[in-house]
Amino acid sequence: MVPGSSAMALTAYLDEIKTDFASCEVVAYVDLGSRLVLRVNSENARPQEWLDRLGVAAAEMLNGELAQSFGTAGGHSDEAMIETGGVRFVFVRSPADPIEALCCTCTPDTDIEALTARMRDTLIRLAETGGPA
Amino acid sequence: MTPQIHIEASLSLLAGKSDPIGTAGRIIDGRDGVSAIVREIDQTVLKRTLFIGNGEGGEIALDVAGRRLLCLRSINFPLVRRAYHRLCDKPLSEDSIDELMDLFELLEMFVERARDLTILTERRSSDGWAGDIGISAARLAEGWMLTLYPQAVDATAQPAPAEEEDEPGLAGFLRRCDGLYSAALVLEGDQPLSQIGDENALVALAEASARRKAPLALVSGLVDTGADAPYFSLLRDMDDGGQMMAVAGCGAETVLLMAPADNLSQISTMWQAAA
Repeated sequence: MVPGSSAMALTAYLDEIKTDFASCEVVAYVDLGSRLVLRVNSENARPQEWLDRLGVAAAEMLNGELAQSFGTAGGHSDEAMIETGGVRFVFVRSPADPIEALCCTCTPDTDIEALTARMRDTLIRLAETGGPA
Repeated sequence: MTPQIHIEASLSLLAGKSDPIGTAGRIIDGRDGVSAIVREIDQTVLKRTLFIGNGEGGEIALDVAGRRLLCLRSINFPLVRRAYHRLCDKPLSEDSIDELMDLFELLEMFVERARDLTILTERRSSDGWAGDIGISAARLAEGWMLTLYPQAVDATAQPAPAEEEDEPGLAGFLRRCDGLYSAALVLEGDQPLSQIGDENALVALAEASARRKAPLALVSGLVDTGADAPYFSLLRDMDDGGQMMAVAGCGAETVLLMAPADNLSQISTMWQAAA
């Protein structure tokens, strides 16, 4: 669970990303260990099954077999992206806590560098404010 | 074959010209046919190099041991040189893929029992940059996987001119991706890949991804898309100097890329155009 004021900060941070990147439809906070989406900001309500798949996709892309095949340092990747069907999924691992990540879905024309930088910065800020461990 | 004839045949083989650069090699006249080459391989236990000539200056060097072909060490045929030069002039293009496929079909008659080939040569670009370049080919159940792995990246590489950006498909995508660490085009990507080398990250990547279309499978259910839908996926490892790897697929074809992370936007934009 995301406790107290940290949960409020997380909600505010997700809102900020949605506001600043209009092409983002979903911004989600994911626990990679449990493969669960713990907090989500979405334009349209998403069924739990969809969120469960998103959590699995984030964990697989950042920690799974693909990442282990690629990563030489720790057998993982820090950023991942999948684009298909006109939708881009962006996953960024927290530099402060490797089992936390943010996931955004957006359109392919989104400035991917700016978005990933913002996601990374958000995760750092969340950790600095005593965010979810 | 009587024992006497067998011995005479063996003596005849031993009487072949010696390797001009070492005692472990032999020169075979390729005009004697594939059977002569296969016979040489069959009779080779300790490691040595076979030089197969065509009588007109063309030559292939094969490393052989344990009655099997280890690798294709060098080739010196006009057709091959042309293919190399085309390859060295620019990143893997559709034309050079076709030429390489022709090349490997040509070589197949020499290596009909081998699964993997490795060719090493030297790359020289028009601006004087030079470096080693490796080309590996792994034979799949159907088709080949070709891997191009320069040992250095041309830091001055620029995006292809605008007039070349209209080339469609994955081959065009590869052609427009400059400054890559590695690239591979996997044909019939559903087939398991054979091992090229332990240090070739692309092999493990291909086994993990191309065989099962892993990135596409992960978003199945999240996006309404078919099994053969084009997809592009990318991983970046910040701990590893920002190295980036991409897997792009369309139907039976998969492209694997490894590149500096600062090429992310360029590559993803090119992929959108190609897909």
